[in-house]
This record gives sequence, C-alpha cells and structure tokens, in this order.
Amino acid sequence: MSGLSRPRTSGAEAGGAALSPRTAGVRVLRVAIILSALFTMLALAMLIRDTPIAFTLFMFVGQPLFVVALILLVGAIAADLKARQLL
Amino acid sequence: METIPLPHGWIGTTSEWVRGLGIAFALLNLVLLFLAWRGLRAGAVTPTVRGWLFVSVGLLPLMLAFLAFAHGLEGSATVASCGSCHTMTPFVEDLRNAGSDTLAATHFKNRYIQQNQCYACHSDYGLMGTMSAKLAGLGHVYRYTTGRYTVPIKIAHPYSNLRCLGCHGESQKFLTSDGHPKEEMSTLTTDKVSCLDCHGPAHPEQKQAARR
Repeated sequence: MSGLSRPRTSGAEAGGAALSPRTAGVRVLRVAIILSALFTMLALAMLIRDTPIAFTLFMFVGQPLFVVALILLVGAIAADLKARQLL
Repeated sequence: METIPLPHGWIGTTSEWVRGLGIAFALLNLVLLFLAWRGLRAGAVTPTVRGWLFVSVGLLPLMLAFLAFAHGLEGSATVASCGSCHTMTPFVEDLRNAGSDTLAATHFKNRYIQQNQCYACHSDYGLMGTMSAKLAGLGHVYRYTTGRYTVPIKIAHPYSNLRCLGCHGESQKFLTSDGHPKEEMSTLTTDKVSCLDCHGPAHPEQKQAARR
C-alpha cells in the first residue's frame, strides 16, 4: 500500500483557488471583453467629440487595448482547440 | 446672406457617413459585449457566446478602429480641432473675422482655402508633410495637457515660403506681378526673403487676455 501514489492535493485544499483550464479560459475572455469595451468607449468618445486629446487617447491607449484583447481572444481560441486536440 | 442650396440628391459627406457608421458600430459593439459577458456567467463558452465574442472582440472593433482612425485623422486637421485648445482662440477668432486684414483672415474670408485652413498653411506638402504635422500635433497635445508651453505662442520653426508657393507659385497673378521679379525668385525659394516680410502679418499680435 505504501508504494501506491497518493492523490495530489487540489489547489483549493491547499488554500489557493483552483483554476480548471475552462475557468481560466473564461477569465481570459472576460478580460478581453473589458479591454474591448474600453477601446469601444474611447472610440465612441472620439467619434462624438473629436478633440485632439480624444484622438490621442484613442490612438495611444485605445488601439493597444484592442490589440491586447484580440491577442487574448486568439489565445483562448487556440487553447480551446488544443484542449479538444484539434490543434 | 442667403444660404447656398446643397446639390440635388445630397446625402451628406463621406466624413459624416464615416462618423455615423462608427457611432452605430460602437453602440452595437457595446450591446454585443454585454451579451457575451452575460453569456459567460454560466462558466461555459457556448457556440452562441463564441459567435458574440468573435464579432464583438474581433470583427466589429477592427472596423471601428478603421472608421475612428479615418475620422480622427480628418478631424484633427480641422479649424475646430486647432481651436479646441484655448491658446489658439485669438488666432481662430481673427481667422473668422471678416473685418480683419491679416493674411490668415484674408485667405479665410475669400475662400482661397476652402477647408482645414490652419492645417493647409501649417503643414508641408506630401506624405512627409502630413506625418511631420501629425507628430508636431502630438507634441502640441502633450505640451497643452501638461502645461509645458510658454506664452506668447510662437511658431516652432521659421515659416517656409514653399508652403505659400505650393499654391501661389505657379499662378499667373503671382508670376506676372511686379513684386515678384524672376531674378529674385531664388531668394523666395531659399527663404532668404520671407513672403511675410511684404504680405504679413499672418496673425494678430497676441493680447494679454489670450495668454495663459
């Protein structure tokens, strides 16, 4: 019996939050949604009132947020496809 | 003055359509993002949520980025955009003053330049001119926002005659004028003599009220 491997303690038992790949994926997608929403609001503000400051914010804050959101989405899709062994 | 009627079948300018479509896409995207967020509450990514995510994080923002960039780039060249900083108010007021005889006001009231009058005179021609004007504009936004500017406002570099000659240089009025003899032309093209020496002032003197 002593030779049998013991089941590993789950993260939750160890005190930390256990994240299944699915939960982690959902969290990443939520971050992507927030970043995309921020980008959309900056773009909307600029379209409604196109001041130089609004345009600068859109260019140097909004667009990088969108790029990060897109990378997160692509990453989540890739992870999902890998989990299904399609990639 | 009677308003000039718009051409038959007028449906607005390209800029107005770009702006309208951009606003519509932005609002639609916010709704889709909300739906996707709600869909994720269950903790599973259903095919429907996947579709919303693809459209709201990938597709629509891409179109929105294009439309907003196009609108912003065009909007940043307008007189309204330049006048949005209060340091520019006296210049824009003079520009629009039909009673003023400054060079800027003369060009504006006679429609020598039809739109984006500040930008037309304060940017060089060609792609590099646009790029350097945008970079300079970025510097203006930074200095205005952080208050790192000195008054009275002065032009950063001596005004190049080539900006004037880009429009006037080949006009018959310019070429046949006694004030522009052919043998003296090189002094204009090399900026040894400024157009503003004879045709200025370009803008009014800045009053104390216009200062910070």
